[in-house]
Amino acid sequence: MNASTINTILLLVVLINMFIMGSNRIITAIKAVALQGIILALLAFFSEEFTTKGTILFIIIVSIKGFIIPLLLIHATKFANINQEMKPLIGYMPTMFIDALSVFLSFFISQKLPLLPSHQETIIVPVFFATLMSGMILIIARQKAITQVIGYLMMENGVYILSSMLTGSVTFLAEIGVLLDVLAGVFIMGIMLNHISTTFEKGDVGKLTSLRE
Amino acid sequence: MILLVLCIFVISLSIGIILIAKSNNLRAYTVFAVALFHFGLSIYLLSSHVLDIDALSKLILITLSILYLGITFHGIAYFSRCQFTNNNKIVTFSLIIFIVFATLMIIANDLISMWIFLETASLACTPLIYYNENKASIEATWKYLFLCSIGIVLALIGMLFISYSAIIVGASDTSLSFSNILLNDKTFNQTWLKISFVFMFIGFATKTGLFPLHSWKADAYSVEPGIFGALMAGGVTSISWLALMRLIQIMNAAGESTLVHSVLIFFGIISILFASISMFNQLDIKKILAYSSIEHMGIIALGLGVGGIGIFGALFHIFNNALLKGGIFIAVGNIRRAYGQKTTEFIRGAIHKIPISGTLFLVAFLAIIGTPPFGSFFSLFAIIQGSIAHSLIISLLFLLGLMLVFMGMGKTIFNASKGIPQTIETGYKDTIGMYLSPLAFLCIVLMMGLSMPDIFKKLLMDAVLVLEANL
Amino acid sequence: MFDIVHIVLTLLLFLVLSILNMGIIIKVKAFFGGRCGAPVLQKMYDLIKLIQKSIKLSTTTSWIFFAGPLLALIVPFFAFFFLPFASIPPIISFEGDFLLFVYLFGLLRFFTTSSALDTSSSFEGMGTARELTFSFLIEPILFVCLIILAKGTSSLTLFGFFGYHILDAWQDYSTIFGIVVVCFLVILLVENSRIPFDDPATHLELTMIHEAMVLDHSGPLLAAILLGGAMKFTVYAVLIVDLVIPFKTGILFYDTLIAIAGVLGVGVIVGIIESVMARLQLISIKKVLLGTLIVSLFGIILITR
Repeated sequence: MNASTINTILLLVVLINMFIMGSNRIITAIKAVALQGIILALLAFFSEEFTTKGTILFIIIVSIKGFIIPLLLIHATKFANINQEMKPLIGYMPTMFIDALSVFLSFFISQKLPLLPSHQETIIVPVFFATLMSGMILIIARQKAITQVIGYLMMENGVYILSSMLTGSVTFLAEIGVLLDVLAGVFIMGIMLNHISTTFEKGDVGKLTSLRE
Repeated sequence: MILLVLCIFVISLSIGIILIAKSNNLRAYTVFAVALFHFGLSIYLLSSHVLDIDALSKLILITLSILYLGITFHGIAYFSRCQFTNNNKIVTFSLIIFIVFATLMIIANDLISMWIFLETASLACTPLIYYNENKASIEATWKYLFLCSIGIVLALIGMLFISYSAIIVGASDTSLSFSNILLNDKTFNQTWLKISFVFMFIGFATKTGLFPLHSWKADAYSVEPGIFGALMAGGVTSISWLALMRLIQIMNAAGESTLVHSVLIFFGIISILFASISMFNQLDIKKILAYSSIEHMGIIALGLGVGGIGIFGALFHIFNNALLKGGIFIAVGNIRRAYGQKTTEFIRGAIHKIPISGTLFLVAFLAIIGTPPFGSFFSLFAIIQGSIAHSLIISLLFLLGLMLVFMGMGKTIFNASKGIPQTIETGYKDTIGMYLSPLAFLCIVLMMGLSMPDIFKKLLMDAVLVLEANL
Repeated sequence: MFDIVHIVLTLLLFLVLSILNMGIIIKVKAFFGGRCGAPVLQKMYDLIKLIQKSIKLSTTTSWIFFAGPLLALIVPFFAFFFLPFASIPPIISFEGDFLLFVYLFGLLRFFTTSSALDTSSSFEGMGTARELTFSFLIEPILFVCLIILAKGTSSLTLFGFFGYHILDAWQDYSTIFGIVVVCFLVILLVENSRIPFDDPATHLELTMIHEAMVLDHSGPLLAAILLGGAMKFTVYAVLIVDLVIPFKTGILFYDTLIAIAGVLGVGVIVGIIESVMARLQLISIKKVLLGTLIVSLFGIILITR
């Protein structure tokens, strides 16, 4: 793959970030994050030589990021009867605007950093920073527990971009471990979501205020 | 090899028993048996050279092992007494998972596997906070889970950056094993290394609960039962400190110790001051302990930051803090059970109502704030010495913090232990199973203060040498 | 140099294309709706009918009310002077003319909205507010896209953008130019109040955007605005065609034919978009426009790094 194709795909990833910032339905956002995960897995798969190990990892990642986690979350949403609305703390337009600022900031940061020549021609490092920051922005700007999980998944996708940059230095076993940890985390979060929505109404983190310092 | 097989056998057997067993008691005994096995294993690992682990790991390993043994011993009495709560299958399972992964994390010689094990261990603590299954515990669990997960991600990013900083200078071996990272000294790209330090520091500090990342701590410690609070305040924080100390080692080896020290001192001081201010007018005695935990994390950070004798103090303090927090949380759990409440509006005269646990509570408080015969006095004193040698302003701020803590914490705790108890009848009575572990913890800390065994002293000194290498 | 016949012929072609394009959109929509549709030249008959009518004026209006329609007629013509069409070079060209190109439409917008406000009708005030909100988001997009083209082709004239370097620039920056094409399409749809953003055929004043501004114009004034709108559409279509069809055969006749086909093709595409899409919510229009703006800014970052 040449740099231009990679850049186009990474551009798509940033657009999905933007789309999630602007979307006002939870299921849409979950699907978008899943799509982002699949795109990134495809990118990593096609930018290397074909190996059995890589294929296995690819299949595992696609099934976890693309199917298991989203289905778990969608199931949690339906089961716990969580309202589809996002409940923004910061409005959609300002969120998109802040996200855009974060994209520019990440390009600015990446230009200051020393990079490998192969990473200089693609936009992989700025897109990593942008996706990470988008996840954080979503966590801060939305009120519900499930939207925080979506933000967390976006951050995870960002980490995946970073780790695909470093193929070779991180071992196969380690990558599997990372994935499993993430899965466990999200899985527990899914269970917790169910409990939150049965105890509180509609999985709203804003209602989690009885404990204060 | 035999050892490995034995460990796997014990773990699978215990998990099997926990899953099959029908009574809470049997599960509690199983966990205690695992703890005994773990204690034996730790002693064996400490004395022999089967695994090539350094003094830092050994120190944290023995700390964790003693703490876990005491907690699980208390667990036998605790679970048999608390028949009214739901069954303990999930929590005992989590306790086993926690100790397995915490031990793996301690003996790990690879940055990324250390990270995986640490995160698994901290995720295993989630069911412990959720034990009571009410609104407050859901909230606290969510906060803990979420902040920890964010910490997980940030720490992972930091590790990947370290890897990148090695790749970019064209290092031949870019694996993340400690020996490799520490050998490869000064062949990292400094910019990336500094960024990775920031990310990893935030990631691991989330679990220790230094000031800006503390918000889960007060909630989690106040809603979970005292026994689990003991494990988290003593155990999780200790293993997270091991991770942070590995980080310090790496930065020292790369010649970036100035940055590390200033960051540690800064976060240490603000944690101490924040905790000391938050303690005032806090009625919830468990929250007081949570803030005390934040304060002590700050003290350890400060000790590691100021260097010199402060490092010795900090390492010693990790040990003392783990046992004292373990003891006081168990004592508070007993008091809470005796009153059915956890604020000083209801808790009065604990010394009269439940004499032994009440007294232990008071004594443990005295030990925590650093009263002379206890080991914690000497560790605190070493840290104060180190900070005076480093800078006067910092040591003054530190002493101010300690004084405020004494005032704020003392008021609540004296209120709770003195006075005339209200007539609340919960049917709770102190039994030997309920107070033996805190008593043992206090005795160990006292013994460390009166005459430290040479073998422990040597261990501490070796650990200091590990941290001071490449400085 | 240009002889006067040449210029007149080009402008005539432009005028014809404008009227044809409107008809084609209506035809395409009719085709998708399974209808036969009005004849392609229906727009011309409408205009002739409108010109024959008299002008009804509100008592509150002043000369500003006439300035809007007048500029609506003049500005697209003037803007077309700067654009190369097929292999015909633009009639006027100087360094930095793309700034003038952007602000010509700014001028037009100013007078259209002023003439709408001049009637002091509350509906027109509402339409003006909406139109200005959108153009507030659209103008930077157009600007940014033109800057990307300037950087990509390293020239400062519209002729330079679409002249000899465009083919090389496409090879170097295909992704970024793709973004620019999409942005141009969005600009075309918004500026000409086409369906995903605005519905020119809506009947309710409350849902109108652009239409609400011209409620009080009648007869020849309305004809001027309608014709001006059609020409504006064609100017943007020519902009897109210049960018999308970078290669030239070298023979004037074939090039012109290709360009005409391209412009009419844009009309067909817009017709298809109008047929398959519903109008967006007012709130999501802002989101889409902000998104497009951000994407175009992203293009600038990509091209400057």
